[in-house]
Amino acid sequence: MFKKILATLFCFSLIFAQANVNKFKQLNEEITTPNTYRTAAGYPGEDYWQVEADYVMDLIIDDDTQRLYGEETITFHNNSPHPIPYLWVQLDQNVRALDSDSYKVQTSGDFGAQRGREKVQVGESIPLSTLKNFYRDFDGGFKIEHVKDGLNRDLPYIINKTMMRVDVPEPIRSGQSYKFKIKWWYNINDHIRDGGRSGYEYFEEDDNYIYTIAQFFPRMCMYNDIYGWQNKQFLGRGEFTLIFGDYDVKITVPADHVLGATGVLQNPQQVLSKEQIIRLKESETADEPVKIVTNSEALENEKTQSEDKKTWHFKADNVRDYAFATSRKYIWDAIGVEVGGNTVMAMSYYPNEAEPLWGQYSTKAVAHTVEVYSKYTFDYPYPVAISAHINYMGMEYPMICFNGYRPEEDGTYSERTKRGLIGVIIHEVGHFWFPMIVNSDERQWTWMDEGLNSFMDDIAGREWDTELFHASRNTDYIINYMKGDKSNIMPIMTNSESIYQFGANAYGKPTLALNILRDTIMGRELFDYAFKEYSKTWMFKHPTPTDFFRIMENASAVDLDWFWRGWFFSNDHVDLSIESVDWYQLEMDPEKKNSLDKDDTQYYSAMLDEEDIESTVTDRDPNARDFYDNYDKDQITNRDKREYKNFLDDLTDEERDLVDKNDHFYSVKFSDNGGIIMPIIIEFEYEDGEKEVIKIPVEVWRFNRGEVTKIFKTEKPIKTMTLDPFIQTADVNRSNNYWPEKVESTRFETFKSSGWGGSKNLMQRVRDDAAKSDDSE
Amino acid sequence: MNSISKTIGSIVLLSLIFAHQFFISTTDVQFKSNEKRAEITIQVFTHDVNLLLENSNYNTVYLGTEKENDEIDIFLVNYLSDNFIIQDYRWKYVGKDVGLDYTLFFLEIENFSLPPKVAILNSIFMDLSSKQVNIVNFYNDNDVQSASMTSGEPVFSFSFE
Repeated sequence: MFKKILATLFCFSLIFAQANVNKFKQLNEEITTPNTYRTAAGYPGEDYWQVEADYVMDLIIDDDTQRLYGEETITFHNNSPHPIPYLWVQLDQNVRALDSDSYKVQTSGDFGAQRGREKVQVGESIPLSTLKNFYRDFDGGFKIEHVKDGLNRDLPYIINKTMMRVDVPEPIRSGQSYKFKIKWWYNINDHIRDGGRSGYEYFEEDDNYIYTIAQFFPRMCMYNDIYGWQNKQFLGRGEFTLIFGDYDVKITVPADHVLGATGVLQNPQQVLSKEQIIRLKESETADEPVKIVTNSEALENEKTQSEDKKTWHFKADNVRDYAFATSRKYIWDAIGVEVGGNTVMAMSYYPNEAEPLWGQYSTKAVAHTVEVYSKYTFDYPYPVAISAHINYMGMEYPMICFNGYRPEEDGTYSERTKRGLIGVIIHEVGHFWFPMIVNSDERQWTWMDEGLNSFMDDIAGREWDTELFHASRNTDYIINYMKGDKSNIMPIMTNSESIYQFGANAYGKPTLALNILRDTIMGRELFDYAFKEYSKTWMFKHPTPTDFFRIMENASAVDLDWFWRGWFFSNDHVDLSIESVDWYQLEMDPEKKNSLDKDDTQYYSAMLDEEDIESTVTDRDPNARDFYDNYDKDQITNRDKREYKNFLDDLTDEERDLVDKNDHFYSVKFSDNGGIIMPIIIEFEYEDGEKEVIKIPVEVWRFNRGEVTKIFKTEKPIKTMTLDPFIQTADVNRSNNYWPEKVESTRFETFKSSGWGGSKNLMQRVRDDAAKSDDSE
Repeated sequence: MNSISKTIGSIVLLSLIFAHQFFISTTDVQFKSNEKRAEITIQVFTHDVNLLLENSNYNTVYLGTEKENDEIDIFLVNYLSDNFIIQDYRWKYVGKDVGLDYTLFFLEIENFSLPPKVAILNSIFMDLSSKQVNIVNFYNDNDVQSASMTSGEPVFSFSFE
């Protein structure tokens, strides 16, 4: 008997567990359990630790062969509480080795895993980019020459694709540091032909190269409290998992090159002219960017093809990576930006091909981003912030990023190119915060840096120009993406390598979600405090999604589990609707009530009767009539009045006040058709034309019934109701948001009714007009 | 650079401009039974339209403005004719709206009666990137069916039985 009860109880609890699909169920299974490394409040715990590595490097760029030769000494600091028996080193360049897995795992349309298709389908529809994969001839990847310990003794190592295990003689104890050396070289990739997050661009006209160099050195893998040693290989999409350290780097390039890099230049006297040093000093306090290397000086440098070498020496403290850009084509400009009492040097490197656009905008966009991000997160802690040009790129590293966009050959450019340039610079400089300082694991979670950064660059863009970077520009697209077929939509909480629609999923959707969180769910004040708290707390540390979710709730006292569940853990969308509206008024004075009760509906047959039937029997024959014919039903009888008086007499004073107010009551039924719930934001337009917006917190949906009925009291009768009148909840279907029902005109109808020429925005029209008046002069 | 290598160059580049990672378009086909019409709105990234045009050596600086080259519309309509096909029907080009972020193409079919099954091919920009996904929402008055076309399966048969 006892057993039986137990079994029954057990079953019951199982059923219960399965049945709890309430959207307000707290996230317990989905996020990690708090521990002494990471607290339930989303902060580093009392035992939080992170490993570090320092690098001393000597590098040579060979401009004749487009090779990089390097030697480095890595000092690994085991700050973990455990002994570490072997070291893993990342060899990211191996993603371009001829036998790289990144080529082997490619499937037709990159959808093989999802649809069970592993074979490239042969036929007319193979895109050229797929065919190109079969003709790889570039010998990429690191050529490791040796791995030695501090006493120059060879260390055994084994290379597993994009990672290398170095076997140390004995485990590195907790708190101990270990020094070892690697010598290597590799062929730099042609970025324009083969792509990549670094590489060179060749300029045929003047036989010169621009080098933007990154992932160029064997570097330590992450070892942490989440996964131990990082073991996700680099397949080309999920970016980088990196640890902090100090860098001391010497780079040897042709003597006529101009070079920008992560860190502070240590030997300006050796690599810059006296004049350049003076200009650089002037730029610190200038009002407009100052050219350290001018356009004409860069043109001169292009011609020299110097055989001499120069060695640039940089130091960078507490960075997670290192990158540099170098070319004899580079113009260099700079301006000092005051941030938290320090002067940050905002700088740009670009060739004459990028003018006039870059000279006007690049460094200003860098400076703007540094100011705006510092305001919303923490003061930029590094001494320089650099934007360097290579075409068709947008890629971020600590203190330096590589950006594309340049004018046409004739120097003209479209507004899209200009917006693209300012937009990409703001975005990539924004990455100096996320993930370069708030150092999330990109290999695991693209949204943690791209999503948060796209959200922040949206704000910085709007502070640059609210028209050019209008608040609607991401919203419309992502709503459209979320509303349709779900077979190609993954939850945001999907590993970087497995996301279907990378941009929409990891950039656009988190941006929209965070905008809604900030403006509609939490409000800017609560959100900005919590977001800043997250940024400051995880500055120079390694946050996880759980830490972000927790700190946003802890710092705001807003339970957001339902929000994370809907927006980050599901692929649902928002579609709230007004299902029905009923109108009520409190029992009232019979004199008013009867006039309202009177049924004035007209029936067609009755209308015809009125014309056709001249007189009826009861009209003609008084004897055919009785009491009922003579009684006026609408007449207010003494009985009505008496009943009303009795009703009033029975009321308390409070209740009588209520009746006297003569308010209107509307019972409105709402329903959730998309799966993601949202606060109900409804606008009433009264009969006198006045409007009012009412916001009901999202908890109105807490019983998880898919629909709720809510009664609203108003003093005046309502003419229309509109759900989400200001497009702030990402509702994908607005046609069910109106009472009385209203047909929303589609984009098609709007376009057609506007006349076919209405395809230009205001800025374009103004510019066209200006261009026309220029022509006529 | 000859034109083939230029085309290949551009294709690779597309996947590396991280400011643009979308490879996606959304199309609404709205069938209006009372008007016997289908209205089609195709939303794509202006960036992709630029790229398509540049691959065919069009200057795109004035795309969407009054100074736009007339041949651009002809080129785009031809491109759409090859890459957006509704079984048994020919659509008419109504116009386009070029925005900074995305471009809308408007097409319509008159005398459209909804067959029980209708196949739609949407291979727009699949020649630029194998990652392109084209979502098509087919509204039969207020009922909606939705499908994602990929380079492996650029055709979907909507069923209204």
